[in-house]
Parts: sequence; structure tokens; C-alpha cells
Amino acid sequence: MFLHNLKYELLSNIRMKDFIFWMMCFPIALGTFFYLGFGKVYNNEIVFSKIPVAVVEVNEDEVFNTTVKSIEAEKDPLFSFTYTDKAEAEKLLKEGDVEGIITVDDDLSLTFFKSEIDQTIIKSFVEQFVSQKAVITDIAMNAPEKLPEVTEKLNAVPDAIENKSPSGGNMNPYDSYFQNLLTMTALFGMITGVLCATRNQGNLSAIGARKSISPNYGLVRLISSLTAAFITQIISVIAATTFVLFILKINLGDNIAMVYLSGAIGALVGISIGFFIGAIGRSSERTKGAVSTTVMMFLCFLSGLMVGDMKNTVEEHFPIINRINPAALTSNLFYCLSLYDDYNRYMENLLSLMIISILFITGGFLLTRRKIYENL
Amino acid sequence: MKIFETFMKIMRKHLKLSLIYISVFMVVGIMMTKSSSDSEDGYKARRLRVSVTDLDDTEASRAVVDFIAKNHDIVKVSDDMNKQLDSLYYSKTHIILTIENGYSEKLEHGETTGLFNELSVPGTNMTQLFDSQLNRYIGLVSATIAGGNTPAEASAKASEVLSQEIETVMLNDSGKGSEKEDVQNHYFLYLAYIFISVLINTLCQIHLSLKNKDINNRINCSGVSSYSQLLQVMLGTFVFVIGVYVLLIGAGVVLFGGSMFTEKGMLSMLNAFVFIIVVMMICLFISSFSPSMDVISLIANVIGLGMSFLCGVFVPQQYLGDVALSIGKFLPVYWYVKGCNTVMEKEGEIFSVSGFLICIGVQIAFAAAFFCLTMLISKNRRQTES
Amino acid sequence: MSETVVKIENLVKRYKELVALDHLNLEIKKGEIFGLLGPNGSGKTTAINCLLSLLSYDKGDIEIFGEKMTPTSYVLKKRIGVIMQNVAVLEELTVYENIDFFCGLYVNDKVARKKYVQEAIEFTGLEEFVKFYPKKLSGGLLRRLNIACGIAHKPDLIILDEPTVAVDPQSRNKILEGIQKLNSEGATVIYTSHYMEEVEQICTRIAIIDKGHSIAVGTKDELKNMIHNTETIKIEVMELSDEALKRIRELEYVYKTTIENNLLEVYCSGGTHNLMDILNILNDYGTLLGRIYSEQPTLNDVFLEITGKELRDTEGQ
Repeated sequence: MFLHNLKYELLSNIRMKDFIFWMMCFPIALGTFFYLGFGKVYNNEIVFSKIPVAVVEVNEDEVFNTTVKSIEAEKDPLFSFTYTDKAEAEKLLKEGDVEGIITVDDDLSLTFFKSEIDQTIIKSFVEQFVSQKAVITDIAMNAPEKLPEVTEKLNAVPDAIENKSPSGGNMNPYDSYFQNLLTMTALFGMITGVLCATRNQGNLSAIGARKSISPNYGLVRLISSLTAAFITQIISVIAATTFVLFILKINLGDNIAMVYLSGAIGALVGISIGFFIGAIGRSSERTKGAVSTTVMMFLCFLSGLMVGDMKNTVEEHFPIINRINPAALTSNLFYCLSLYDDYNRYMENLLSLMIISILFITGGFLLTRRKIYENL
Repeated sequence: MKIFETFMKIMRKHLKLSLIYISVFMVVGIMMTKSSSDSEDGYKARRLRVSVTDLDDTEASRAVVDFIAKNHDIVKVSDDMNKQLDSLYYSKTHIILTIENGYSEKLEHGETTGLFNELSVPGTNMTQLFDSQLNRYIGLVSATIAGGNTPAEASAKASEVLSQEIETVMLNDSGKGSEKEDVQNHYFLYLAYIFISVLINTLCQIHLSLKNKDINNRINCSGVSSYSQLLQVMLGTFVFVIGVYVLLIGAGVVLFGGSMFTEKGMLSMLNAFVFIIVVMMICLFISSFSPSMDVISLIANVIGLGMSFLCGVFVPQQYLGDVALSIGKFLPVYWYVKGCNTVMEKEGEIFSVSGFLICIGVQIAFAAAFFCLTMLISKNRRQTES
Repeated sequence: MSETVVKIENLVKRYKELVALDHLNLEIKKGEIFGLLGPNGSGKTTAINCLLSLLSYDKGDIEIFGEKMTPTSYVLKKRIGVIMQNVAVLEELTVYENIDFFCGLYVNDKVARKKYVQEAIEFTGLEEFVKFYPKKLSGGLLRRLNIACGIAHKPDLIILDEPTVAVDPQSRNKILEGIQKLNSEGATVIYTSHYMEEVEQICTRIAIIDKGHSIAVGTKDELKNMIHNTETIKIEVMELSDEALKRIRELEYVYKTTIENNLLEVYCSGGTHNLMDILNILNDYGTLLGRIYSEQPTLNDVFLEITGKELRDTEGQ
């Protein structure tokens, strides 16, 4: 009976062709988009195009001019400088032909119109210049013979910090988007979970009624339906994970088996929540489906699918949400794998997810337990 | 107007569900906007929670601690590795830094590698910011030592040099307003995602109910011409779309008050209006394929999230890869986002009437294209079915 | 007397204000095709759902094969086959798979099941459509599939709830013949419908239900005998003298006559030569006659006479 029901539930799940198609399409399309979108950032290949800067000289500064020349002589200069007067510079700035004005007086000062990345880069360039100049001036006064050595030191990029991140620190801020994507794919199990409830309950669908009057234990039938939903969902999650791992070659940690396991746990949670939602009340399958996707979308939003920083924001203000939000917990599974090589936190999350699944499935069973209905 | 009336009736039935969608997405939009304003000003003067263990305990090393304390908050964390990981994991600490034994000595000999050991979540902006700060400090210190100073003297000098502020003038008269505009612009950007998700999830459901085979055949058999049918459906759709638009812009008015009605605000609203019409056409286009109800939310996710990521709704266009941007140019969301940025002069866009009109024009062209495609498909479908 | 298969006693079901079943009593014997006839909303489906333990009820007892029916009476459920009013099949499974799936909920033995499924397919005439998906089937074929799913496990008691709604005449005849065949193979059948012609055609015993209450039970002849009317004679007459009418009214078995638009209607109760007698009178007065009809009472007349309303009127849907 269990196997018979399982076989046909699986068959009919897999035959929901357009559902399966979009289910596969979702992580593949979105994963590709992420990859294309973040490609530049991802591979640390941000090549900023030359930032145009206007220079207004009130007092001439020999050192500054030398620096400008040496930058312009570089193969791939970061800035292009235009020497001009104040009025012209401001005109250029307002029209967007330059990103900032460096005014060279006794001290350097900056004039901006906007406050964005380019401006941040200009500012940090000037800061660095000013501090280095201060050092050079100081040395030139006290020990001029040591100047070449000092300049050499200034030009060298120190590598003072050693990382001791446990897994070698191969984490990238954009990895979290892929982790959340896999999480959402797994949680889409909610839709199949809803079907498990509605298609087995006598008062929710004609098929449910027909099943209810057959001589079988309702619990056995439900468990086999849930198993079928779980298997179906796992197929989607495996496909998505494989795509992310081996086609997009996103680094999700060294323990690949555990990555797949994380997806499976996510699918289990998704199905159990969907099953629970499906078991509540008498609204139509469609309403319940809509409610569960909305819930899922919101949970994923809180765990940072859309805005990567969201999980941290939540952690700052309402840490409890991150402890119980299944989307956050699932994406944390992936996060732990790519960050830590000890599994303490992984197990904590796993345990929370298992408890959530058990709670929702038990809740669903309790709601669907009664076999005789007031209304049909 | 029979079909229009039917549309309204079906719409009323879907209203409750639609309102759930709209309110959830509205909350999402507002939260995203709020969090973007948090992280925005957070980036500029963000004080991290740093734990420092000084194994060297020399004058120079204590100077480093002072230097860090000036810019960040020093916190205490247990020595236990597991506890340390915990505090990182739950963001109680951002950086756990150890100043290695021999820090001062190494510096004196001109060595700058391996002075610190750091435990942090790699690859985050916060970590990068901190690392570059510390490296720059060490660069200055080691240069000053090379100039004949002791590590202690050099540390003091470097600290002093680094504390110099660069005078920065913003030509933009509305320095404070600009930040508010930033947040408002974010709201408008997120509207792109919200419009797509809400409209596909709700409108397509309504359309599909209307396209239910029997009803559709009945309508086709009636004397109403297909042209008039489409117009009536469009009219009904339009009423719904206006409702969604008013609700979401209304939420914006509540959030931002008067600044929605400045010139920039009005232009943003116009841009959003044109965009919601594009989305409406996309919905009509999707409905013409009659997907099944279960699939709609998946489609909404693929299109909504996909376009938003490709076109710079969530991640600024500046950060996006060239491939993404060149694909983006073939998607309407790109032009909406560009329009928003042009109006608010964000992300390197400078406002010009012609630039703005191009964005609007391209969006209208997209709307028209989707409309034509819908006509073509529904015509083909009807013929093949009969 | 043969074995009682279903016994319903004083069954009451309320939906808040509405009383759906009002002390319903039914007793169905082995081998019967038992018809539940009543207008829409009379409580037929509610009665069936209570019988199946799908629906809770407020009062009363239900016994099937001499045992009390509960949701966990799996032994009883195994012997029952149900064809619901709504088509309940899985969209994603083919005709064969659907039948096998539902049959498998009752029959575990694979070999036996294979045979049963094959027989159900032959029985419903779906041989050519085994690989079809339900979406591709016409309304009538879909109903036949629905039936096949319900009867494949060879139940002893088959319950059919309006199986012919929205079915073309050809499929309808096939379904009705099938029901009779199942019955002849030994199954007891409960058949609900608001089409009295069908019920008259196949049912061996009929209960007429109105407002959740069984108002008359018996074979169709017994039911018809319950009422006063035995024959209604309608004659088109060109002109009719008052005297002729008077003489007709005085006939022994005539209890009511009307004349309207040259149509004379004579209602008789008993007697065997009523038509002859009337024609003789009309002949005596040289009345010109048009068409002549003599009608036997239908179940509608039974319903009309007991409840004062037409069964047909509610047939709309």
C-alpha cells in the first residue's frame, strides 16, 4: 500500500511537467543571472575605468605634481587629471565630465558633486598622498639621507595580517546569494507539501474524498505522499546544487556531500511547512499555494536573498528571527560549510531545522487526523 | 462592456489574495529601503567590534591598540576557538585580532609580514575595510622607522598623520537631502521588483480565470469582436494596475512625505507609472501562454528576481558585470533603473531631459512590443485551437 | 427475506440552521438496484457521504453488511465501491494508471489487480484509451473512467452518485447497462439521480427523498399504486357540449376533468376501459376529435401528488 501510493504519487509529481520545468528553470536561470551579474566582483576583477579628476592649483605643490605624473605614466592609470581653474573645474564637475576636484593649496582639499564609489576612491587617494607626504616631509627634515629607503617602504604594500580562518577563508560576500538561491529552491517544496495535504483530505478535494473512503490507514497514505513529495523536491535541489557547484563552479566548501545534504534538509523543511499550511482550514488549493509561496518569499527575503545584508541586519535587531527562520537556518547550513571546518554550528542549525520539520509535520498530522468531516 | 464587468467580478474574487501579496511585498519593500539606508550610512563611519589580544605588549603594540580603538569598538572575547567562532557567527564580534609576539622587533628590522593574526569572516566589506586600514597604518609606521625613528615614535607619528582630515566640499547644495533622496531612490528601485512580483502573481491569476476554456469559448462565440474583447480586458487590467500603483506610491508618500512631490519625485513617479504599464503588458503576454496556476509563482520569481539582479535593482548597476549589463539593456527593468538613477542623479548618472526621455521611450517601446506579441500569440492560439 | 446490506435509521444531519437529513430511514437488500430519487438539494449526496463515514451526522445509526460503519471500518470499506458525483481522477496519470492506482488502494495482490484493472477497462469500454490522460477525454469517457476507478476492485456494494450528469445519451446508456450488468453479477447497487426516467429504467426499488426525508419507498409499480391517479386521458376536441362533459364526469372511475383550449383532460383512478367509455360518449354526441393520448402515471406524478411540487422543475442543472 505504502509503495503503491508512493509509486503513483511520484509518477504524478514528475509528470507535472511545467511545474518541474520551472522548478529546474528557477535556480538555473537565477544562478546564471547572479553569476553574470556578480562576475566582475566575484572574480575580483573590478577594473574601474579611468576616473577623471580636475586639479585646481592655488599653490604649486612639487610632490603632488610628481605623483600625478608618475600615475599618468602607469600602464593602467587609475585617474586622468585635468589641470584647470576653479570656475572651469566646477563646470566640468556639474556636467559630469570629472568626478571630483582636487584643490592644491597649502593643504589639499576636495570638491565633489556626488558621493559614490569614484569619490571614495579619489578621497582615499588624497588621504594616502597627504599622509605619505607628511611622513616624507618629516624625514626630509630630520634624516634626508634615508629618503630613498623611506619612499621604498611607502610604495611597498605591507602584508601584515595573516588569516587564521579555519577553512582557509574562501568565502566571498556574493557566495551568500547562491546559498540563498539553493535555499529558496529547496523551500519551494512548500508547494508540493500543500498538495500532499489537499489531495489526501476528504473535505478538500474529490480525490481526497476517494482516498478517504478506501480501506487504508490515513497516516500511512500521508507519509507515502510526503515521501513522494520529498523525493521529487530532492531531485530539483540536486539538479540546482549540481548546476551551482559544477557548471558555475561556485565554491560552497570542500565537503560536497554535506552541501547536498543541506539541500535535502531544506527540502524537508519546505515540504513540512507546506503540508502544515495545506492542512489548515478549508480554503482552496490555490489560496494555500499562494499563501505558502508568499510566506516562503518573505522568509527568504529575511535571510538575505534579495539584499545580501539583510541577515546581518536581522541579527543585529531581532536575532531570534534568525534562530527560527527556516530560510535563514537552511542558508546557514551552506554558510557553515563554506566557512568552518568544524561542524558545531552546522549541527545546531541542522537540529533546529529537524525540530521545525517535526513540529510542522506533526501539526499537519494532527490537523488532518480526523477522518470524518462536518462539511464536505 | 460585459467582459469588463466579468473581469471586475473575477477581480473582486481575487482581491483578498491580491491584497495579501501587495501588503507582504510592500512590507518587503519598506524593509529593504530601511535596511539600505542603514547600511549606507553604516558604511561611511562604521565602527566594527574588534577584539585585540596583544601578545607583544610593547609601546609600539599598545599604540596599535590605541589606533584601532580610535576607529572601532574594542570588545572582549574568550580564548576558546569555538567561542570565538560563535561570536563571529552571530556578529557579536567582527574581527578577532592577535598582535603577534615580536611585533615591535620585526618592525624595527623593517619586516612587515606576519605582524598580526586575524580571525574574521573572510570576504566581507567590513573585513576588507579593516585590513586596508591596518595595512596602511603599518606602511606608514615602517616607513617612519626606516627614516630613523624607534617603533614607538613611528607609531605616534603615523597615528597623528592618519588623523588628518581632508577638507571635502559638496557642491551639491542639498547635502542632507541627498541622503534622503538616496533612500527614496532605493524605494523606487525596489518598486521594479515589487511591481513584477505582485502583478504576475495577481494579474495572471485573474487573466487565467477569465481564460478558462469554457468562458473563453463563450466569449468568442458572442458578438463581441476580438478587438473589443482585448480592449475590455485591458481596461479591466488597467484599473487593477492603477490600484496597485496608487497603493505602492501611497506607501512612498507615507514614507517620504513632501519629497515625493518635488520635481524629482514627480519624475520618479512618472517613470514608475510607465514601468508598471510595461509590467502589465508582460503579464498579458505571460497569460497568453496560459500557464498553470502552480507555475505562476515560479515564473514570477524567475522574472522578478532575475531581471532585478541583472538590471541593478538590488545591486547597483556600477557593480554589475559587463555581460550582465549588456544583457540588461535588452530588458525593460534596466531602463527603468537607469531612469530612476537619472532623475535622482545617482550612480554616476547626470540628469538631462533627453536622457530621461530615452529611458521612458525605451520602456514604452517594450510595452508596445509585448502588446504586439500578445496579440500575435492570442491570434495564433485561437486559430490553432479551432 | 434476503440479507440486508445497508440499514439507515433515523439519520439526522444539520448544517447550522439547515436540516439536510431529517430522520431518514432506508433499508437496502442484497441484490437490489436501489434508487434514491429526489430533486437537487434533497439530501441524496449528504446521505451517501454519511453512509460512507465521510461526513459526521447528528443522530441516527448506519449499518452496512450488519456492522456499524465508522471511518476505520476498513473491512467494510474494502467491500464498497463509490463513484462520486465529481470526477476524481489524477490529471497526471493515464487512464490505466488511474484505475490501477485506485484499485491498488483496495487490492494488494499485483496479479489479481492486473486482472481486475483489465476487466474494469473492458467493462467501461475504455480499451482504446488506456494510454490517454484524463485531459484528453471527452465528458462521457471521463465519467466512464471515474466509474472504472470506483468498481475495479469488484465491490459487493456499489454506490453511484449521479453518474450520468452531463453525459451524452450514448455514454449514458452504456453506463446504465453496465450498472445492470454489475448487479446481475451479484453486486448491490445504490443509485442516486434526479432523472426519474433512469431510475424507473434500472432500479428494482426506489426511495423518493425530499427535504432530507424519505417520503415513499417501493418498486416503481408500488409507488405508482400509492397514488390516486392511474391514467390521464387527453383528447383534442373541436367543440364539446356541456351534456357530453357532464356524462364523462359521471363515469365511475373519473375523478377530475378539465377543458382548456379545446384540450380535454380526464383523470381516472382505477378501471380498465376508461378511454373506450369516454370515446363512446363523445361519439354519441358526434364530437370531432383530434389527437388522443392516454398516459400512465410517472414517478413525477407520484412526487407531485405527495409533495405538491414538480420533480422536473428542479432539474435545471
